[in-house]
Amino acid sequence: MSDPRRLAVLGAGPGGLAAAAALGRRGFDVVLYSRTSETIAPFAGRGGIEIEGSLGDGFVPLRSISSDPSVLAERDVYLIAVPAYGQMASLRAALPHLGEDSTVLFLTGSCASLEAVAILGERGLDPRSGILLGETVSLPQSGRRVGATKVRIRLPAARMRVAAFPGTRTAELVQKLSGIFELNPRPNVLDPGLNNPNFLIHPAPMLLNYAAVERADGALSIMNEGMTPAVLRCLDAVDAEKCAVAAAYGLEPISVDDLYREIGSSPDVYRKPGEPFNLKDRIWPRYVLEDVPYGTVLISALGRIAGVPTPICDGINHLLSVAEQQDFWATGRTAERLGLAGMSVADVRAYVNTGARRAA
Amino acid sequence: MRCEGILGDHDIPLRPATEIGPAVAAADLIAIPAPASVQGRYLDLILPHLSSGQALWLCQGSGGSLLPQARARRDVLFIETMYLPFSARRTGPASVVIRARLRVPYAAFPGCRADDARRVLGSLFDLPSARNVLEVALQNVNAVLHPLPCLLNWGQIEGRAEQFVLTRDGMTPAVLRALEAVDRERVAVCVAAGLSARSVDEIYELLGVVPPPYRRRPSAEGGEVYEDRYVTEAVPNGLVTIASLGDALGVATALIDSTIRICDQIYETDSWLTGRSMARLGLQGLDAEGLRRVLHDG
Repeated sequence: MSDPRRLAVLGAGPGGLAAAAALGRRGFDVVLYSRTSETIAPFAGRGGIEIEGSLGDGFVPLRSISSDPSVLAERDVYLIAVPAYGQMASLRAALPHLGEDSTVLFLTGSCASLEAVAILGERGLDPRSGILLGETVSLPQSGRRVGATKVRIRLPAARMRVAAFPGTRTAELVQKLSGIFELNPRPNVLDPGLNNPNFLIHPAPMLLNYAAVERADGALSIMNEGMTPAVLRCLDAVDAEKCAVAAAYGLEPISVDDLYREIGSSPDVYRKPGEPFNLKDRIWPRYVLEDVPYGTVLISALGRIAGVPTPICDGINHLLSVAEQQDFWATGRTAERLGLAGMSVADVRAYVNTGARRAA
Repeated sequence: MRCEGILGDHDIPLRPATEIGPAVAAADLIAIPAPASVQGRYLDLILPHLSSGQALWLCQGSGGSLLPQARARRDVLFIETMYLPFSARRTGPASVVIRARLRVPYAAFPGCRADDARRVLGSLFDLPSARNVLEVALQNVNAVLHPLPCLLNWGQIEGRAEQFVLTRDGMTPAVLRALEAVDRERVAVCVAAGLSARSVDEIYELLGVVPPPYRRRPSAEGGEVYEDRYVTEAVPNGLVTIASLGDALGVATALIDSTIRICDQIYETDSWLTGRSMARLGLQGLDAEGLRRVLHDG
């Protein structure tokens, strides 16, 4: 293929590896960057990624694999595929190399675009007119590391919800990414941002199984062992609050079950014991450390602006802050961090749709 | 019935009664050991048969003497304790074992009748006195011990309750942290109300239970198997009272509010609707001084 677009994937976790490998497999010019040299070293040594699974078996060479951020120079599209708490650090690694012609896409954004606006502003970059900025709700495919240099690509690509900031540039963003990803354009970044599936299925079960996880020192399969009827009731309550918040911002709510089907998975993952994809045995700290400050705190924060009560999300945030000894209200994706402080719901809707800072 | 344990082994003659009127007519003290959630019904059944000068003891108080039907009987002396003054277990259809004494604080409603209460109850048990029945209610350790710790263990309790002993299986470092944090909210509300600022550890010390059950080694015997009622009693009759008083006095109770709401999701209850808020107890709109006055004067 001779597609001239030069891609960079930031993040060498399973998501980033799968994205880089899938794109490289299709012949794109891909650079893979990770801040952590230990993570990236085996792949750098190999010069690429070995794959098995949905895209077949093989070896995918990449243009560059490095923890030196200079490899991020002269790229057209920057795909940030890191956990939410690493998104802004990744953006900063790419920042010196970004220009008005760049495209920055957060894979599984969780409203990262809104946090990114101020950082881009430090470089005089304005996503309202020049640089293209946006996010997806999910990863283009899921991956699992199965060897030192090998990744199993697990799911077929699904059309990912995507939006640009501002929402009026979504069509332009989709056009820019045409041929790279199958995309489902949404009105604005609150849509993919609020619908991160992990954020909806992890926090309530983590709260109600907190002691069990602690006793097992994390070696617990929460999806197999912790999803009792009442736990699912709390999960559904989180989802109901998210849907109410989405509706208050003029978005079409989608239930978590439908979201799972939409991304090519199934609600059986959390509603039936025995995970279909053999994901088990170790609780990721991320189920609390990411999914609460960037998930339930986000829902609470947007709910508070819109006057939508979110008592279950609020309760999860308060109680897990005590359990984890970290104030997620302070460290999480609050209105302040999203650049929405002092805005009314009408202000926020105008802002995310057009970039204008006050409703007309 | 047969009684064994720390008070010795005794056969206690009892006169079972099936009619309330004759049963209470000559009694100086009528005790209602039943949990808070059924106190209203007992009050409705018993109060019509009481006359002036009689004393009614709500053993699992939680402010039951403030319910409307009790307030209407200004001529009856109400006494409240958090719990019975001993821990006991039923060992058969007509037998119990008394395991330990509990020095539960007691108070009278109205508080101005404290001397009468001391005369009636103090002749039976050596118990510390409390300022008023609201103070007794706010020192109910069950509100701190059960709801949030069970919530944090819920995935292992649901469906397997008969295997779960909270103080043996459920007290991890985080659960203990959460228990202590809830207690700090409770104490803050007590302080704002001018009531005893004893921590839950100090209450257990007063009761004579040292170390408190949540600080015992996990292998220790004696804890009770989980039952839903430990939480479904403690939320509307303990946590709601604390949170409601906090609302009235401007004290934030984020953790208690969170616990109430999520327990309601788990148990499919509506504790604010059914629970002993300040409004339900006829104490709405009062500041600390107003509360003190009503609780003292009746």
